[in-house]
Amino acid sequence: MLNFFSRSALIAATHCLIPFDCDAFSRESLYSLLEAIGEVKTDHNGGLEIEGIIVNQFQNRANLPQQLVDELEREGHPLLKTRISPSVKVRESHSAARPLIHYVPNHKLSEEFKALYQELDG
Amino acid sequence: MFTYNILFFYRSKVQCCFNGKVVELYAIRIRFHSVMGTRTIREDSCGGTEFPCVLRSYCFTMTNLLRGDLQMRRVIFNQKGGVGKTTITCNLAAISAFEGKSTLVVDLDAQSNSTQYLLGRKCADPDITIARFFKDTLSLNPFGKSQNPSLNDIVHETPFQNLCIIPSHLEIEALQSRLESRYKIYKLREALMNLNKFDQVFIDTPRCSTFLAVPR
Repeated sequence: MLNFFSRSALIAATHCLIPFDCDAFSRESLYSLLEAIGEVKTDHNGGLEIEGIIVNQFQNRANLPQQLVDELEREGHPLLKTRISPSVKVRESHSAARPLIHYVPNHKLSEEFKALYQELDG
Repeated sequence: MFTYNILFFYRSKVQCCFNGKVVELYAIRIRFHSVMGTRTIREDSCGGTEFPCVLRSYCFTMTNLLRGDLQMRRVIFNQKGGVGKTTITCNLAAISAFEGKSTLVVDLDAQSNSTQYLLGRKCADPDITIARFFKDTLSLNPFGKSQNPSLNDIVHETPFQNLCIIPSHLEIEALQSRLESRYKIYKLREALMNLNKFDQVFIDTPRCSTFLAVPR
């Protein structure tokens, strides 16, 4: 089910991060995703560590994202604390070919990515 | 790179009260002492039954450490498209580089979005991309032995300090079935472990077009 390049990457890595975009379809596919990672871990890369699920596209004021995140938390999934908000700046930074920290260094989103990095490496 | 002198492996049993029940947990930790200070490499606590599993995974980490493999290699993985893999890969890598760490992004997505994000363009010539590396793993040397090609020649500098990228190319798609049937899945790990000038590696993965969500 995994393609060659994803499998190679999971074997080459020491750590794994899973982006989650607060969508019901993503929520359902999470199980098979974790199974696939578990399989690579057992068969090829015992040192692979799941660092956590990154909650992306998280809208503070909407109900659904919070509901989905609560469900995942209840089920004991390893969610990272930092939430990444949706923003038009992401697409702008793609088109400018500059990562957010260089494109809009003081924007809320840049701060969120810095917080995420701190959470992982701090 | 770190120079290390002592590797410290630590385990202790602690009792915790969890939901009114007393459970025994093992604390386990690998610390790393070097001239540059002490750094905790891994730290976990686990219940008694999980302990053998966790210990096994620690043995792998220890083996890597003893081989001098201290590179942090993160894969950003989700088989669904549009969840933000490329954005997260490139932005975390940019911050890591900005903080002064020697950082590499490996783009394994044939659509080359990370490549475009960090270089501003796709690479037209497959011979300067990851396609070259995978092609080389498939070719045999004059003695008929399979090869372990290096990634050194396909590392590109980005306009951002400390940040490099190995770009992707559409051609890798066509190589996939041959790579799979000839069992080349370990080649990327070997090559990255030999590329020890980078402290942090971020790997962007492709979406899986045949991937189906399996509800429970």
